[in-house]
Amino acid sequence: MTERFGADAACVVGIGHSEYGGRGTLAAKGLSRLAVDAVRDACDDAGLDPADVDGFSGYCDDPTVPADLAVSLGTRELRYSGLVWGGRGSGLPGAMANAYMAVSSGMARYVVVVRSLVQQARLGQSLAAGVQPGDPLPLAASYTAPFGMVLPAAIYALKARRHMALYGTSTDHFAAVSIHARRNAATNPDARFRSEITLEEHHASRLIADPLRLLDCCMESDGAAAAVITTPERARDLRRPAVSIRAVSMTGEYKWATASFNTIDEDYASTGQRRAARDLWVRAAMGPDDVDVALIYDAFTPSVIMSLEDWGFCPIGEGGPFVAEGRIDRDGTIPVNPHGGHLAEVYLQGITHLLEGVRQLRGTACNQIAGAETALYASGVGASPGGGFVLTRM
Amino acid sequence: MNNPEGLNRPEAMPAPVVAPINEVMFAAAAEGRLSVQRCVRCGAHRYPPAEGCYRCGGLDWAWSDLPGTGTVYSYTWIPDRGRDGRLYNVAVVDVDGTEGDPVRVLANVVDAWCQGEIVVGQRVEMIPVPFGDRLALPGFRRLQ
Ligand SMILES: [Zn+2]
Repeated sequence: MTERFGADAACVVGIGHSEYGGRGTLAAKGLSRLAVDAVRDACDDAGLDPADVDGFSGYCDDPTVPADLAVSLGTRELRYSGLVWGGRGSGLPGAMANAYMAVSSGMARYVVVVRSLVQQARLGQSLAAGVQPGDPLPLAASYTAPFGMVLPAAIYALKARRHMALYGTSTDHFAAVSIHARRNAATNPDARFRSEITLEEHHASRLIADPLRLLDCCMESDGAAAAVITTPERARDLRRPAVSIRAVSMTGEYKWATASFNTIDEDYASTGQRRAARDLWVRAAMGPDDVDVALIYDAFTPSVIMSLEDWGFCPIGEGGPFVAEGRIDRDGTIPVNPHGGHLAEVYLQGITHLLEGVRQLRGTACNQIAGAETALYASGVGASPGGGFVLTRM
Repeated sequence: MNNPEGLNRPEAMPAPVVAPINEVMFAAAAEGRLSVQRCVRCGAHRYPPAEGCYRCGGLDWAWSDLPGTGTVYSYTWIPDRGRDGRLYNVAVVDVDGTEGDPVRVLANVVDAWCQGEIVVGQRVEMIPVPFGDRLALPGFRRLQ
């Protein structure tokens, strides 16, 4: 199926975001207003009248309803809406794929990928994806939640512990991911966490789910971000040089249901995205060596180490030393999350990585990687299917 | 759910939803047996409960008792908000005596109280963690 993929059939022509804040701080503004702010900002960036947006693509069970957004944006023709199931952040490649298919097939002209988040519901304390304390327990959570397997961090903790046992990965390696993120965010004016941290501070931060500590985790955030997707033909009439979506791929972690504890070995001590990586490199007719900057989902530090392995930047099991040796620094082999990522900039479940990828390829990023022409987004663990996509300068 | 004395269990966790697809398993656990679904057509065991067989697609299944022993595949320790931050563990246990892909059960190793008391590769056996009316969650305790 991969050899028939129609590459470069859609592109990103505008990006935007609302203000960012800590958990619950933007509750008074509300999800819809944040989403409208982000979409209008993205349209302004593109030089597009927001009323010309005719499609919406969401993920993460986003409750921001396209029909409502369309009213506030003045949308005259609502031609497309699509939502990726799954209450965690790995649905972004699916939302990109929906937008890609919608515009390239002619179903819609300008599709906005948008994620709006107000953490009145506390994701960090959920009993299962989308389930808060006091909510009725879904049947499928009956084999996890009664045992206290409830934190998103615990999913990564179990994977991380297995990775440590198999490959000798250490908490120093996890710390290196976090230290790296903070160092990058120090020069990002949009970042929520701009102070650098030390190994000692990481190790002294409170335990969340062994082996993960507070400084292995992103911080719950409020905000919204959006990107306008259209065809290369329509992009020529817009304000900015477009960034091409070379290819998108997705994979479901085998037997993912109920927090993945029965996935196959290959998917367990990993993000489960090795088959998505295989498909993506075929569809994009390139490989990891061709990537100039990697935007890796980093809600928790092990995600970066495992993604580097899964997407082929280093051999399986060597992600920890790869990070600790500085290979993901801005002047390293493969710069990762130059904006500081979810660990330090803001946690909006992947979409802010998309924005950073576009900025890097436009040459307008705060921590610009010189001459960047290709970017990878890798989704990490969360909802299934996750996956990735490649962006290229046109 | 309310926890029995002397077991390291997190406080205030929801009880499972008891349904036709899992009730026999919880009843067996209360009698000290680890029972999981087994495909009638191909013999593959599976957990957690699912409607169909991952290996052959068969929809007919029966409950099958396993020896109840197993090996810790991975684990985590989590501070319990309900017990002033006292640690509980969650372990993924590769259970013995199954046909097909390895079958793993997620549960608490209820006789381990401190970090270091579980390692990957630790041998364990199932013991009941009672709830409701003659039902139990599967728990595990360490073997030498
Ligand atoms: Zn079968």
